[in-house]
Amino acid sequence: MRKNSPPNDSQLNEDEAPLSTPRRDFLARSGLMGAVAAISPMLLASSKSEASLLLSDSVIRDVFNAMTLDTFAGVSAFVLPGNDWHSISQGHFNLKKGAKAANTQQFLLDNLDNYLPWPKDIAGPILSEVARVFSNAAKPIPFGLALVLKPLETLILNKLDEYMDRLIDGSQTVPLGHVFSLILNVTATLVNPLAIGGSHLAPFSRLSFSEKAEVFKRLETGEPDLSELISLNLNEAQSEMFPTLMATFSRTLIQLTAFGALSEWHALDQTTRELTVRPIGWDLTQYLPNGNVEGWDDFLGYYQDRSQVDA
Amino acid sequence: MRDVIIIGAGGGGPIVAKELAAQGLDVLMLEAGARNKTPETNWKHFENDANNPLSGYLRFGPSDRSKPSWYREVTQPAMISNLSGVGGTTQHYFGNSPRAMPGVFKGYQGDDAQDYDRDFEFPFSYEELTPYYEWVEATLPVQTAAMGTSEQVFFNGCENIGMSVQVTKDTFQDGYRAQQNAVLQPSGNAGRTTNKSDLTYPLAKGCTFCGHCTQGCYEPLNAPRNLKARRSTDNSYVPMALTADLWAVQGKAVTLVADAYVTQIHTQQINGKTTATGVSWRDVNTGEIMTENAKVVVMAGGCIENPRLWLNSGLPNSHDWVGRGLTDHAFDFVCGIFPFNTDSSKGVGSSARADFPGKGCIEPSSLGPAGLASNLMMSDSGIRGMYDNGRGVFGEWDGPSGRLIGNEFKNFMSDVNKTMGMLIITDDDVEANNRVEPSSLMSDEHGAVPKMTIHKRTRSQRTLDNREFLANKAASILRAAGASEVLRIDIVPLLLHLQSSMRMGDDPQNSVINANGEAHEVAGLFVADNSALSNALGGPNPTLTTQALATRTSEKIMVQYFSGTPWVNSNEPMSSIDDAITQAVLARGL
Repeated sequence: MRKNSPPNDSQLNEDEAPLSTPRRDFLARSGLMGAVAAISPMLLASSKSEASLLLSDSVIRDVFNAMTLDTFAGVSAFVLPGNDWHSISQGHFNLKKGAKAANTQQFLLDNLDNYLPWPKDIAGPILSEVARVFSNAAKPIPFGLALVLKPLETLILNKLDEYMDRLIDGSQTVPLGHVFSLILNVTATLVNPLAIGGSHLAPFSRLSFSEKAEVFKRLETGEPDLSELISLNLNEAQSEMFPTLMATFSRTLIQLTAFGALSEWHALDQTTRELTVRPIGWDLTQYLPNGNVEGWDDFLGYYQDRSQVDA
Repeated sequence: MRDVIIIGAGGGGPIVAKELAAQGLDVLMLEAGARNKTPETNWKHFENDANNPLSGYLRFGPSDRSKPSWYREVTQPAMISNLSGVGGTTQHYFGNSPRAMPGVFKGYQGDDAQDYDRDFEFPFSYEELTPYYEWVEATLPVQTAAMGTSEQVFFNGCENIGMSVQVTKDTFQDGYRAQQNAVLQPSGNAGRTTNKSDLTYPLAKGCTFCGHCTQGCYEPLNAPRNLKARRSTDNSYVPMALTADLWAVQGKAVTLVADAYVTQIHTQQINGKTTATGVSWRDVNTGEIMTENAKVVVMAGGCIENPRLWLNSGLPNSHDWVGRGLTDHAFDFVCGIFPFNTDSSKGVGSSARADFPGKGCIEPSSLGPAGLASNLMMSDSGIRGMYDNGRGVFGEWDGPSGRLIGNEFKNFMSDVNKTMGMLIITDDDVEANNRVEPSSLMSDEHGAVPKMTIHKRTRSQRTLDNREFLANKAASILRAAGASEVLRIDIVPLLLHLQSSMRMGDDPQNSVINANGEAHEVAGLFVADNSALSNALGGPNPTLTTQALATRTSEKIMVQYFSGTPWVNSNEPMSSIDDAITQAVLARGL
């Protein structure tokens, strides 16, 4: 059991043990380091021992959540763009509110984490394979953007890695939003290696509109040879399932984004199940202009006055 | 020991329950999902709250909405759209109740006989099923649908391309018509006002044109449960089953247990034959395992759950046909945008249709914006203009098939009441490699989960050709109706109309149940839902035929196991909206 006291030297050495290069690359590409800085800026100015204490499980989870929300904001802007920064920065926007204004990123996180019954037995192995393959298949991170890992950053990466391990080995329930965003972000850096750095937390959100489409294309079609690469360390049943899972993941994410963005979700008080404001999606689609009704005055009679037919 | 245990209270189970309860049998009906006793307070006209496939109150999952939905493995991308709960998938259906194409039955002699899948026809004639159609049509009841703006637009399109209007229930040639719907048609103020206070029962009766079929029907407000407009089984057959002692001479009320997930069918060897003796189920909320015995067991858990339960129970499957032959109507979605109002978010989900014997059907479908958006995203053709996923089909629609994204999607959705979606319902072939089997990879607290395989791109050539024909025809109708832009989505399998995974047939080598609805290999075990259908019916929506067949199967059970006599050809059916039923429903506090 770990005590809540300053770590001793042996623990520090353990924390500083270097990660394998593929795993380090994977975590670097995932955008998680940027999320650490955003969630706990004081971490980067901390001593190693202070940082080790600060990096509790809840902080690590917050880091994953922040990165996931930003990734999903990028997805929201892709599916239903608006006048928000995520839409503008992808170069595809308009003057009206979009999915991001309807808080669709939170809708996705809530639904994927809490309700999507993905198979627990397979999420971990697949996540592990995705990490390995994406890292191995990737072009090297451009020199100017490579992480020069100082001891403190190594510590942070190791903490993130421990969390990943718990997801992979199944000792911790897999929040699927985290899995989905990891896959999107790492694929994003394969599409555009420069996405490893930039204005948003998540590499996916740094892509242009057409680059985002390329990410979904690769996931939906298994290009380039994704499923073949991934199959290496999976058993036969898992490997058979992988391309379908990726394609399903890709389509589900787009479909759920469109559905959530145009639904009442962001405007509904979940306790009273009454609207607190008019849903943005209803305005965008001119749906129910005067709010919900119990009926419409749209009865025009019967076609050719035929109100019943014989056999 | 019960007379009969029915597994599943969806579109088929309640029909058997009501029919046998009216004959005085002791019937237990088990349902894995929720029983929504007070829809007026529990349901809302909100799309996410109701239809979110992961967390909505209408989903395939436990009644406790804080828990995840139930997992099903698919071997290719697909959208599963069937529901658990009392009423099953009829809780969000449109009530469309066409009869099957006569050409899919044994002995059909029409000139177009070879246009159908003759290898997997029903093992009896269309004429034999007709009295059961009439019985169900009177019980629900089924009525000719009224017309709203969207139907008028659709009819204009059909007229403009020179189609014939169909004025019969039986379909023998191409034609368009108002749907025969299991929806009480509007009377009083219904369909004539938007004022809530004028739309309560009895000021309003029947469908109020609210446009929320997919969120579950509880209109008109204050109407007794059996007088709600849409005739999903939770509003029609279930109230009758629960009150059979009050309205049927010698009737006996059905016992209904919800949140009861059946995990095992028990058998014994009796007179040298494997015979069903009872079931065990798991209380979804407490985890408690319960067991009851019965003389007859009826499977009605649907096309996905029935094969899962059969195979997880270790029942015989000598010819490896359990779960095979699954048909799904190879759906597609074609959508138009108009320079004038179609009012497509109002009225019944679908009140009009066009039928093409030997090919399938088309129907306009009304949805809210989230539902429509969801359909527009289900493409197997990638994103229009970005990638086509090896498809990107061209035809009577504009540009390649595919999903809309970004500003194109936003512009298309800028006025939901100027759109019209058309559902393509293909007459698809029974194919052995489309199937349900237990997953070798995953299980849950109810056993190995079902694994579904539906090959979209490699269906039979007839199926693929039919789908293309219908998509082009739908685009032509939309164009002729005045659409300024028409899009084809080319959707992935939408698992909504599922049929024939426990198919009925004469030959045990390619069917699971015989012409009486009883399993070839297990005595006392019947199937009475969509999975019992012999084929995809030629394309018509399956619920009415399932219910007619379940009525016929009820008679067979009564005659074969309880020394009864058939009643459909000798008695008058009691309508579910008869005043005797209403009084029984009120007396029982349903």
